Amino acid sequence: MEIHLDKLPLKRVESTDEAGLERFPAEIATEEKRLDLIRRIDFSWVVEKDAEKARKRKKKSDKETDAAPWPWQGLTENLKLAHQELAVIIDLINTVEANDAVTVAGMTRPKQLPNELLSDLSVSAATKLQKLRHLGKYFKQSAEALEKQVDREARFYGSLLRLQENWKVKRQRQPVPGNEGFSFDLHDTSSSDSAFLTRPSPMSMVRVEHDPTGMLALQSSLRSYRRMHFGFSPESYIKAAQKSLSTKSDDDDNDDHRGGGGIMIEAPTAEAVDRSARRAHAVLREIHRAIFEEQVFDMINREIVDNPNGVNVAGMREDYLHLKVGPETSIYMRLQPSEGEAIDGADALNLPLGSPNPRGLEIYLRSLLQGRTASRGRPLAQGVSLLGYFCAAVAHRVFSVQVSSMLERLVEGLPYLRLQTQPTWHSRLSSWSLNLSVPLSMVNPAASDRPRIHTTNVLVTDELISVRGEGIPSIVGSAGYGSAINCYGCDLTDLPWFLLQQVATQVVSWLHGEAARMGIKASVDFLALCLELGRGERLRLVARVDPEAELSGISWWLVADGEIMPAADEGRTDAGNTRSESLQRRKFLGHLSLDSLYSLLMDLLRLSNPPSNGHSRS
Amino acid sequence: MSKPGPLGSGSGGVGVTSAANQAAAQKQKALLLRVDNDISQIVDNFSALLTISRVNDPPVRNSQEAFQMEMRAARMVQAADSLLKLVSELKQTAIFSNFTSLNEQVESRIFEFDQLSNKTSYLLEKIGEEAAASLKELELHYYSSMARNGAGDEEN
Repeated sequence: MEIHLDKLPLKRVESTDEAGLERFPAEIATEEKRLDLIRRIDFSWVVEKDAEKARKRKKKSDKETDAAPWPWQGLTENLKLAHQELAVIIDLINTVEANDAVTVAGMTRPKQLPNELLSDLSVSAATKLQKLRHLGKYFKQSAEALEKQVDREARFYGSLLRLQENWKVKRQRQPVPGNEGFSFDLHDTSSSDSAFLTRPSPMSMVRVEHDPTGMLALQSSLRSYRRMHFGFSPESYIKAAQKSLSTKSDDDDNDDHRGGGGIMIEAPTAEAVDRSARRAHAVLREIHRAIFEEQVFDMINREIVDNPNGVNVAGMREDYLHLKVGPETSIYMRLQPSEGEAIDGADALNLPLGSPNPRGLEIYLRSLLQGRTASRGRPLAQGVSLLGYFCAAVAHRVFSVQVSSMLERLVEGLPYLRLQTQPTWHSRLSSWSLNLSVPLSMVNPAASDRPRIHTTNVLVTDELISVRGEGIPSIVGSAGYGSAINCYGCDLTDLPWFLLQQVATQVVSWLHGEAARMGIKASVDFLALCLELGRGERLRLVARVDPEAELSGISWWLVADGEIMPAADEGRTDAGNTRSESLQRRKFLGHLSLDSLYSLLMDLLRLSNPPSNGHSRS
Repeated sequence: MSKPGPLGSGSGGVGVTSAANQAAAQKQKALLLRVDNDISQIVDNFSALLTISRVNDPPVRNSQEAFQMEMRAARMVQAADSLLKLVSELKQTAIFSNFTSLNEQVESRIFEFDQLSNKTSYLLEKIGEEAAASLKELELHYYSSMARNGAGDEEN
């Protein structure tokens, strides 16, 4: 490479003549300067290069005479030439500009050829098209995102509006990020009962969230809610809790399976949304119920503290209550964590014999309290607390179960006696009737003055038993039909004796009536029917009552009093009097049905009236 | 677009003061304005987008126009999002402020529940009566049956 150094553009003295005058070189015109510079550019290297290349090409073409020519060879050569010329021109321009001798005034773009114009246009159009396509994709994505958002909001607000029909929705003033701040307020302000008004439970505000699919979800945990359990034995709770734990594991799996525990890829269907809303409603209902039961338990505790009369507390803890109802009956109330559905099996879990169904009593307690809140705290009765009333009802139920089982045992042994339950639909009142059906009279079937069914009513009020019936026996003598005497103060121990005596009296009265119709002289003495057979002979048909008897409570004896007995009335003492000369024979007849008794009566009639005299009477 | 909405009609209830009426009208106006703004933004930006989409001669302006098109598209999407938010606000207003329909809903639910309660009470009474009748019939059958009478005869 050669380097040329130009002289500085200073006016230099070329020569000085003899006179001392300085001679400067002649000024060169700018055009000449330009030409001079251009001439100074040495293009010889380019020429040599071209010649070299031509020689090489020729050699190559001589060597590859058999090879096929490359179709783009000409194009590449032209491009290379063009590139070289451009490089030269660029160098020239740079050189000229560096010298600052020549400035480029301007360059006009040469007029473009049509194909160049079209190519530029096509490039612009292609670029625009690409941009528009990009925008199209962006719009599409945005549309999809907005549609999903619309669907999510439609699902969420649809469910919220649906739940708002039954529950109170509140909005927080400062919503949490990612959450609109909705919540359900389950606190019941409708009750004005001061005994029932409490602070709002911490469970009463349930926050609303979005689940991954955008549907409405509740921030709650059912494990933390408690339900009240009622029973007659403390062991039932342990077994109920075990049973609830075992069922909860199955329910958990079902819930995970059903509620979409994983992430749903597709948008949920209308059925899924409906199911979600129903589930939310069920959860809210459970929470509301749990709050109510906690309030119930709380109110019971307050009643015990404020008004302990009539309620015997045997044990008390924060979530546990043991009350004594009667001498042998205890009730247990407990708040247990709610895990799954309410257990109905408490009644099947080792209930004490003769106990009423605790589930029914639990429902009754809740209904009492619900009714109280609805009636704005008006007491059930003067001076009676709700808990006292409930305990009395429980005591009555237990007692009435015992009475009922006693009556059934009684009736079991007497085929002519029927037990009929008479529902009273009252929690402290129970009623039964014992019906004695007597056979139709063979002597005078049309006799309508005597009732065929004799009824004895047993009424239990709280723990008091009263009996009402026909011909209730008294010590003095028998009462006639139609007289009803109520018996007060009859307890459970005496009741079977009393009823059996009542029934025996009715049977004896009936036999007396039949005997009278048959023309036999007869009289009734307490539980004995005295028949006078003539010739001083007297027969007595005596009923013996024994509730403890295995087969039947009423058995019959036939006692014959002989004619040498000193006085007819002394024979009624029914004592084996052997000191006198009276002949008293006894025969145990056993447990007879009414038909058998009637047949016996007929036989006695024949005995008293021999066939020669008795035809007119038959 | 300018028709009176539920707020305007719902504000004519009994006991609503004129201040509340004015506040409701103001709010309605503001919402309508927002809707108009959003819709006009969408329309304007779309028109500008179409204008920019034209292929111009100087190719160097393509980049500038590309950025403009992106900007217009983003503004359109933003306006659509704002409309959606407006819809959400309207829904929230319907949930919390639509007292007329809320009261009607509550009253209809009360009526439904009263009816349900009466129906349930009636049903319980019927069940009780049927249970009592069934019990009576069963007792009658039992005491008339061979099992009991046969057992009674055997005892005798």
